[in-house]
Amino acid sequence: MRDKRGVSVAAASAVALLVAVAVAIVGFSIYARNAAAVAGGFEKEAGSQAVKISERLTLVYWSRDGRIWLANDGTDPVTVIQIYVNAQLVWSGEQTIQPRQTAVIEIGSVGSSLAVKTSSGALHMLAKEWERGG
Amino acid sequence: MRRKAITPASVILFSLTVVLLAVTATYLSVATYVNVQAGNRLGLEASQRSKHELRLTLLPGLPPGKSPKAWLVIHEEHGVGTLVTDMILDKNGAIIHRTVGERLDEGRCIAVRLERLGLPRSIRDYDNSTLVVHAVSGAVGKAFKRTLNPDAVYPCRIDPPVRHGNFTVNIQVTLEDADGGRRPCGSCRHSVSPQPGSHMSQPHKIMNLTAAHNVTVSGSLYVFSHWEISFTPPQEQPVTFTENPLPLFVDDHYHVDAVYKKQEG
Repeated sequence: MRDKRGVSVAAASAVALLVAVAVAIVGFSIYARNAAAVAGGFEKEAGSQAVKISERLTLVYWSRDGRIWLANDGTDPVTVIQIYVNAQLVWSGEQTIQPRQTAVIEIGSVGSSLAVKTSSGALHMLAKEWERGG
Repeated sequence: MRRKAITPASVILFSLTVVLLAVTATYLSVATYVNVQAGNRLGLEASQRSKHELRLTLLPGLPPGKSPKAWLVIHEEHGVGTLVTDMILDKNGAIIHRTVGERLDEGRCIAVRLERLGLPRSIRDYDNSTLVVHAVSGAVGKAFKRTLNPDAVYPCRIDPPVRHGNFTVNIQVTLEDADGGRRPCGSCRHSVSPQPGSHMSQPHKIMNLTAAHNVTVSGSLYVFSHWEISFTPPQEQPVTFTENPLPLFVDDHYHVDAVYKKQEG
C-alpha cells in the first residue's frame, strides 16, 4: 500500500536533480561573472603593462658633470617632463625622445637614484645598470 | 506495490550535497584560471627583469694574440636577440657618445674593432676610463678588461680587417741606458725573432715575437725589458707588452720595438 506521507525515490531524485541543476546554474553564472570580472581586470592590467612596456626608458649613462643619456627603447615617442634625483625635482621641461633614440639631458645633478616622469603620467625609476658587477 | 518513501529532509540534504559539489567544481575552475593568469603575469615581469644581460670584454687584439688595437667582445647571455645602439666612453669626464647599430643574435657574440665605431683605436685610451654599451633590449653594461680564451671569441662574428692586403710589421731593437737615453741597436739582429726589418703578414694572423733574455753591446749587458708597439704611422703613444714571447695579433701595420735596458754593475 502506498504511504501517502512520503514521495517515491524517483520523484525525490528528480526534484533533487532539478534543484541541484538550478542552483548550479545560478552559482555558475555568479562565478562566471566574477571570473569575467577577474579576467577583465587582468586584461586591463595587461593593457596597462603594455603601455608601460611600450614606454620604456633606459638610463644609459650618468656623467659626473650631471648629464644623463636617456634611451627610448619602446615603440612610441616619449616626452620627459620631470626628473628627480634622490627624490628631489632637479629638472622640468619637455624633452621628447623618439623610439630607438638616445637623448642627453643636462640635469646638473648626480645622485644615487633617478626618477623620470613622462607626459603619460608614468614615473620611471631608473638604475645605473653599468655599475652592476662585471 | 509499496514504494519506498523518503522524507523531505533527505531530499533537501541530497540537494545541498549536489549544490556543494557544483559550487566546489566551479570554484576550482575559476581558481585555476586566476592562477594561470597570475603566472602569466609573473612570467612577463620575470622576462622584463631578465633583459639586462650583456657581457662586455675589452681586449688588446684577439686571443690568443695581442695587439695595440682595442677590441670589444659582446656576448649576449640571456637568449634575447637585440641591437646595440649606443656606446659611451668616459675618460676623466671627456665623454664620447657614438650611435651604432650592431645586431646581436640571441645567445651569440660579436667582436668589434672600436675604431670602426668611431672610438679610439688604441687600447691605451681605455685605461682609467669607462666604456658603457646600451642595447634596445634595455641592456646596459660596462666593458671590463679580462682574459678570454680563443674558444670564447672565435664563434663570434668578427670584424673584418681594417684594410685589404697584408700588413707590415717593422721590428727593431732599442737599447735604453741607465739615464733613459735610447738608441737603436744595429748589431742586435740575432737577439729577436723575427729579425729586425720589415715583415709582411696576412691580416688577423699571429706573429710570434721572441727576444733573447739579454744582449751584450760594447761590453755592456742589456736585459730584455718589454715590447713597445705602435701604429704605423705613429699617432698615439706605443702600447707596452711584457710577455716574451709575444703572440702579436696582426690587425694593422705596426712598429715593434724590443726594448733592452742596461744592467748596472
